[in-house]
Amino acid sequence: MQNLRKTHDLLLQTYRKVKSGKVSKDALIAHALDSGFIDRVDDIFLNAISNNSESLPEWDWKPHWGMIETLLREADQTDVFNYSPGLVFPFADTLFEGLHVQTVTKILDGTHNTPTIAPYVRQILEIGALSITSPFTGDEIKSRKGLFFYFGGKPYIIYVFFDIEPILIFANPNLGDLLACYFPARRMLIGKRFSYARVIVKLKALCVRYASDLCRYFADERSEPVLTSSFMQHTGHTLLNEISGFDTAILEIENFNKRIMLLGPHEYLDFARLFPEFDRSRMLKVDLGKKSEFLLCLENSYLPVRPTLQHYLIKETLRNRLREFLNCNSKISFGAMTSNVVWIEVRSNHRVWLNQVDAIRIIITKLIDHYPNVSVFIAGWSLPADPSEEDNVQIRFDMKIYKEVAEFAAGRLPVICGVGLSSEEKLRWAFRCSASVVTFGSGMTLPCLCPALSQIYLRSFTRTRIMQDGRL
Amino acid sequence: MNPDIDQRQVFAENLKPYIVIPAEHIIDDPNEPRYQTRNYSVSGDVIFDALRNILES
Repeated sequence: MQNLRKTHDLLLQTYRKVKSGKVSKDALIAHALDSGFIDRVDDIFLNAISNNSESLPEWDWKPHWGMIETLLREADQTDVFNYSPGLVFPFADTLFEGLHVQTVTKILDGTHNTPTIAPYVRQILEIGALSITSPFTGDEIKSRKGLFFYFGGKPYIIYVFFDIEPILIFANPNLGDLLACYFPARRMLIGKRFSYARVIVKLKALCVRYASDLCRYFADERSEPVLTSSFMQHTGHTLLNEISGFDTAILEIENFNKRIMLLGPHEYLDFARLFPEFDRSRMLKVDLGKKSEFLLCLENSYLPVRPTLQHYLIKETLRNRLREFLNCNSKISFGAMTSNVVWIEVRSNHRVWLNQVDAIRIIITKLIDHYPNVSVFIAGWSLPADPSEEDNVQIRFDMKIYKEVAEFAAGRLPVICGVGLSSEEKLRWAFRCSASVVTFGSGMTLPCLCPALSQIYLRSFTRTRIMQDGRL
Repeated sequence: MNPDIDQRQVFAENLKPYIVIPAEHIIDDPNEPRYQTRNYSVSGDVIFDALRNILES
């Protein structure tokens, strides 16, 4: 293609017509493919991720962000140009065109289900680099470069190694283990999970958008490990992995609290209050509306790292920290309270307890007969600081259940509304409850915090199978 | 009470005993294929019996 800029601008005109409904999306994609634009974009990605700045467009290439993402996503789904990465199971002892798959398998073998910080996180924080064995040569190779982006409510960190060809290693946004290895020159993914095509398309779009910034970042010898937090749109995983990780790392890693911390949009609990060991001036709240977290890291030569506990576990140290955070009375117990509270979780989506209203009515009737001093806390969807439309919808659904239950119990047993509360408010209630009834999953997290609490878990046949696989 | 359950499944250190409602009381959603269902039913009587164990322990 002779003139990338001209093609880009023509496509942009078509893209705007698509947005206004005047042209079909298919026409846009066909134009992008026929003109060779998608192939060129792919070249730019590969050159940028290989730190080959000389092959980038000569002018300040900043393509229209929305269009690039749309084109790459749609091209990924076409049959003619399949841009999905090839997938290789990591468990075979295979030599694949000079690449030792088993070496990659060992790199990815990061989850040990031990309540400690992941070894690679410790390595980055202690020596400022991540080292692995090259799957091509068997030599030790190091990375001081990492790409960080927030996508689909999750934080993704990808460490970049420059070997015979670029190697990208993905950290799991949940447990934080090293989950997948992508070889962009071959479009090949080796991983424990194969749902990464969508994430790779996003990464590609970012690298193309910020190609020159990316090459400057790679060329810069400076590299500062920075902590990332609160980019996970999920209270359970934030508490179980991230906050647990910070709590453990403070004890295990020297000078951990001296690091810069990037705080994302999902700060369910006030980090500065929860971790007073950190210097507030080193906590940077990222305003995603002003500058992307991706570009922020490139411009400042940051090496992002997310300290996570490789285990679904709230340790005693964290429970104490949270209790202090809430200034709760730790001696609350069923016998000591004038009104004992039973936490009952309701659900309107995923793992729905289909007969929950009828079943809770039965429980309430029997509680009134046998335990007249008991109150029931109906725990539903939480209200984040910046609620989305989905949050509002789920709160409406759960509120309907609460109202049906409260109406049934009116005048006979107190029913406390735990729908649409902030995480901090729910945490406060969790410390006050005496027993809980929860569906197996992250809904168990908050009531787990109260040591005076006993739980009843509801889990379906399918959940049992998933749980046996070690997944939530 | 089920003391043998893997610690990973309870998420927290030093919890009091917990109860898992046995699978025979959990009825997966009949409207979804067996291996896809996430929805279920369980009766209030079964849960109350478990709750009673906790409240009186």
